[in-house]
Amino acid sequence: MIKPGSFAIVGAAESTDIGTVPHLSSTGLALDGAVNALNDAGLKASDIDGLAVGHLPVGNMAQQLGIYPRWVDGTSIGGCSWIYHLRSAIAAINAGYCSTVLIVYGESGRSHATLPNAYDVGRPGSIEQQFDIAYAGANLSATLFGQPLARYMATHGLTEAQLAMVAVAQREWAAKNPRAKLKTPTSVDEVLASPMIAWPIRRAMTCLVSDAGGAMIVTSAERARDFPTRPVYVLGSGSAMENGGCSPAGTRNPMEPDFIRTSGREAFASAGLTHADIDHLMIYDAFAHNPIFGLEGLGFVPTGEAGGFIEAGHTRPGGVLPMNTNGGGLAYAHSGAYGMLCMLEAVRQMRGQAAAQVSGARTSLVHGWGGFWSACATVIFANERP
Amino acid sequence: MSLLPRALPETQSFWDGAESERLRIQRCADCGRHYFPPAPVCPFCTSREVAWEDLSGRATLYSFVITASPWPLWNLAPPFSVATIALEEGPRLLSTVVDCEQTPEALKIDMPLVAAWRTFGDGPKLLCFRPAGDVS
Repeated sequence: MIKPGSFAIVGAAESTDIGTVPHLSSTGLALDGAVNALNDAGLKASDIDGLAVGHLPVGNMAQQLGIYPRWVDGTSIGGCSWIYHLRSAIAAINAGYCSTVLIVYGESGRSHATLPNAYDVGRPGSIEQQFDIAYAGANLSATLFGQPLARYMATHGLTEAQLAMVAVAQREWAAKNPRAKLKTPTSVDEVLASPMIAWPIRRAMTCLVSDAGGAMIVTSAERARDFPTRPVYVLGSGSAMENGGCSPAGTRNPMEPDFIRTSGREAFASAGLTHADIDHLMIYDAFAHNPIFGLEGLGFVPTGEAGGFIEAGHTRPGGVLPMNTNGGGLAYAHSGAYGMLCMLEAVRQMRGQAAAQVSGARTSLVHGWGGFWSACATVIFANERP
Repeated sequence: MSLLPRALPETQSFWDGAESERLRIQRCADCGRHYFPPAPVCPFCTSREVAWEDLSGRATLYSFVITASPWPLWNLAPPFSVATIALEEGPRLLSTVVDCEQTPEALKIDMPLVAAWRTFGDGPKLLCFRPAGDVS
């Protein structure tokens, strides 16, 4: 077991522009984020000896940045890949395989100025291509991610108004953030009047479609003191994979997925913390119901009660558990695989530099999904070494 | 990305069964459990002693969404359901419910269903489900 706080984020940045960035491809957005992260840390490319890239060819990235890494990770398991990379990077540094790892993300999700994706969902003959995609329709993110929702509503009494409150609360955070796409406050009535995408999911319960990049640099806590930025320590992490297809039909317990619980338990155990110790929370919100499943699966709220928890205002500004404080995928930006942007908001919060800063926040938990109930990863950050 | 399902050697029997309107999946001879998707190894006990079986087609509606988008692959106009189906034999799979009003009121969680086969556009015969009440 790695001791909590043994490793730290010493550089972190998004691409200079996010939202609509037609002049950059996925690779261009990733390179821009990487250079910003290097500058943030005061490092040169030659200082990097480990490189992790998700959904893009890791070798291309190394060549274009002029990095000659001793260790690479090209794991591409969906939106949580970069959280998973951070976990693997720490293990690699701990093993002596490398000392300073750059983790890079870029995705031209809106402008589609992209190159073939290394995330191979839908390859002919794959499980999902034979048995899921033919049925999933044109909005497959909504139709696949949405599968467990109707049964959850019927079982636990979650209302459409409670679902809408997820979007309302996150818009309140976005209103404080100049970089957020949707800064105008909204209401339950307005969310429920937005066009239907895939019942019961409406447009305003669906993530944005954006271009974005971002990167972070991790090294040992001993070295972290030498950097110009305030170190953000990694206390613990977890990960789990449930199934390799893209439909949640094959998930063992779609309404109470085991993989969320596995990942969350390991993150808390390795950090040596309990839920009451968490000051700030990011739960990847591709759709409004994702944070509901996340709050319960991670153990913050008993099963069936997360809709009421959000409705009571506990995750909005001033609430006891500030969640998705950049505005989230619903209101800030969502370029397709959003996990890196979740972590970057957590790093800003831990540095005290967030646009909607949570006063006095000392710990942050980030949870991301991969595929559709296929994989997840969790990390807990702190701004002091325990 | 090609959308038309492409069979592999390990899944060919499923698609051959579909062509003759038979729902055929595998069952493990060692642990006795049915599983899906098709594979030469049981995912419950890793046994290779697995065999194809024709199923009853009886199932229930585990959960669903009703999409509001057209689906050019099958020339399908919305609304249509994208549904998680629980087979009587245990496995769940993705499909759609046909011969039923595509509304949250008509599509009921846990409603009994039975396999129905449809051909859309130029595609292969596709496993769908319809309300079991219509069959008896």
